[in-house]
Amino acid sequence: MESTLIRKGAYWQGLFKAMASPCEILIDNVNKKLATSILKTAENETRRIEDKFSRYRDDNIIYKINSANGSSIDVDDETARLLNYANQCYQLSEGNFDITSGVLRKVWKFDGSDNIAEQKDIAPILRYVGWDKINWQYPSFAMKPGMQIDFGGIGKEYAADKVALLIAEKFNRHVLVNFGGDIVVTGPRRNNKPWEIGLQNPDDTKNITTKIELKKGAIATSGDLNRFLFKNKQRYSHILNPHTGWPVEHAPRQVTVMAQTCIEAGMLSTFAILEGKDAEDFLKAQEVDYRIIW
Amino acid sequence: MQLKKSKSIRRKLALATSSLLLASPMQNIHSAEITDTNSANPENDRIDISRLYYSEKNLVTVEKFQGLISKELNESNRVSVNIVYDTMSGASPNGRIVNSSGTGDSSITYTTASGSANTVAGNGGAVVDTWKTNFEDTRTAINVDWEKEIIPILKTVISGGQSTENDYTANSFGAKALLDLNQRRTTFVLGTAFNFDTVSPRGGIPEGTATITCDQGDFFRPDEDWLDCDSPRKFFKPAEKNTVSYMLGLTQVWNRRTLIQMNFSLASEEGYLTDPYKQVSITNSEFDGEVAVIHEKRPATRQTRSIFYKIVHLPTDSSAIHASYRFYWDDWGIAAHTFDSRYRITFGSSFYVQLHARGHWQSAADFYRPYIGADDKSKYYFRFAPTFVSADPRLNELASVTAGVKVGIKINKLTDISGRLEQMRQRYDNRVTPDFEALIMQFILRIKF
Repeated sequence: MESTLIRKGAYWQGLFKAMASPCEILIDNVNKKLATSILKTAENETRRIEDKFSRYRDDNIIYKINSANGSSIDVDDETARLLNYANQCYQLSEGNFDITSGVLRKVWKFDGSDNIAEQKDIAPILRYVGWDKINWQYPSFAMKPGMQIDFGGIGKEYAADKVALLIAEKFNRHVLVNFGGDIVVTGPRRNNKPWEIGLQNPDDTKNITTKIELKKGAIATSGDLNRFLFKNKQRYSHILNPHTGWPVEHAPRQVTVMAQTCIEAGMLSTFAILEGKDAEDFLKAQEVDYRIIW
Repeated sequence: MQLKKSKSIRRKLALATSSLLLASPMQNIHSAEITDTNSANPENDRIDISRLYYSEKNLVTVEKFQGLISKELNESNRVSVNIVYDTMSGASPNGRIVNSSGTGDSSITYTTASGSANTVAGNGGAVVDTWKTNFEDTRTAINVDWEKEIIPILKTVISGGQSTENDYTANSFGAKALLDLNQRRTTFVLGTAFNFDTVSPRGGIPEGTATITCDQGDFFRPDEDWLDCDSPRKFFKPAEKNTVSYMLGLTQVWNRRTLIQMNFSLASEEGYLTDPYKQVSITNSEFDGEVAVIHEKRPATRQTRSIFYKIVHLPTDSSAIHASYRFYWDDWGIAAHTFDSRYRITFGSSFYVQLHARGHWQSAADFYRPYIGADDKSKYYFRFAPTFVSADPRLNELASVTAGVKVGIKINKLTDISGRLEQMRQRYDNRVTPDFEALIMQFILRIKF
């Protein structure tokens, strides 16, 4: 896999592709050797996380868990922390956020077509959905045969935060990490200047309508701008309600949230979409900065 | 929509996230709280200006002005230049004793150049005559540090400096390497320093243990055979004093709120280690007082060692405790224990109060004597000329306690100001040296740029 490093005036832009997204690291005012070193570290850590938690591989902990067929698997500390986190998010969202809901993918394919699934196909799959059906007691994880877990909903944001923190610890530098629009910075640029981030309006990609100055924090976006189904003048979001197996109704098209870490921002934007028509009330109650596009 | 429940999600989510990411508040501690440089963290460019006022009761007053400028040259090099200007004045004990007013007690004295005496109470309330050596001295010093990052986890610091007073010049060079391991949770530091000093007292370097004055009357003639009351004293040209020292240290982040630090240091001094202005009294057999005075003499070498432990703990996000212990020992027979503790409370983001308490105990040097006794019944009697002897109270067994308070205010994003007030009390192990009290005040202005 190739990564590229481009000098852009006062900073470096490091680019590579991972997690099915363009990944960008902005490094402020260092020499080329150091920029290369930082980019290498970022890329290695991103791939490490991707390989470890990808559901497409057959040599990682996720594969072991998903093919365990009912037996109990002992997990390492990092996986344990992610499982704990998934559990807490499940509780906080009253079951709306559920990492076992991936199996519904079998019946829903969000390709912009009008292939809406039918209830008779959805119902049998629901038997295999539900975090309340798993057994998690550190270090052992077990679930009913046929169930699957998927960290896709938090993997990219988790990787962004981990990469930013790793670079801050190892090189004592703050960089801007941008994984497909999920952005995090651990601190300001040199001389305490903020990072300048422009948010595109999805309906008008030529103009930057919102400019954000960030010294420390993250921005994440959830939405279905590119993945949806459309039938009978009804747009179906790709975010499924795990209780019903159906897409969330009346969900906003896109929610962008600003928080301290990428994971929190991503989770809050996901929770907001899961609230459907109450998305804006939910975000107001969290007292975070946000943008909603309906 | 249950708004009340929505509100609690954010805090709980933030908590869940910090467990997941294991973000540590120690990162901030490492740079902000630790002022000694056992950590390879970047600092801000800054100017510090400080004024210190130190006053001993009836004795010495020191006023010190210090300016520091620290600037990053590029992302892996930083230079700091520190300038100090001190003025010291007042009176200092010179080691001699003098007659007390008829109680048979002796007390340490201080001579005035003009010969006049002031009276202060000695130990036990006895009124004694005190003689003070008045002096005024100024000292200027400059020190330069160059910090360089070799690779992200290894930093070196090279320093050099010079300090000058009218009778003493000190030149120093040092080098230090800091290595971070364990994702910056562990830092090792290895350092070495060299000092080359020149001692050039007014009048020249006196011959050690040579007689200064001798009472020639019949009544108080000294008994010591080895005292030579007739030959004139010899003086020598300025002498050198050289020191080599090494330090090995470790700082370890123990958990999110605690950091521990340990250092071991050793130093080796050689050359002229005596204080050319200090003298030792010889008393008569009635212990009435001084009948002769000689110069002190200390060994020409000194080996010192010390170990140091420190713990920094943050009980809450706005408070910090520093506690440390140092044990020192050398081949002059001195062993010392020092306990130091600080407790800082931060109010909001712009104001802090810090309490300080320190205790120090040390044993006397082997060759320390408060005076030389007149006959063989005195435990301070010498049948032959002593090889080494000193009556400098700083080499005596002593205990001191210091307590103080410091207040810091952040005026704006770039400027901090702080002030501290402390009092130190020191007590000696014999009835000869009176207790000692000092007041310290310091103001520091820091400007970041």
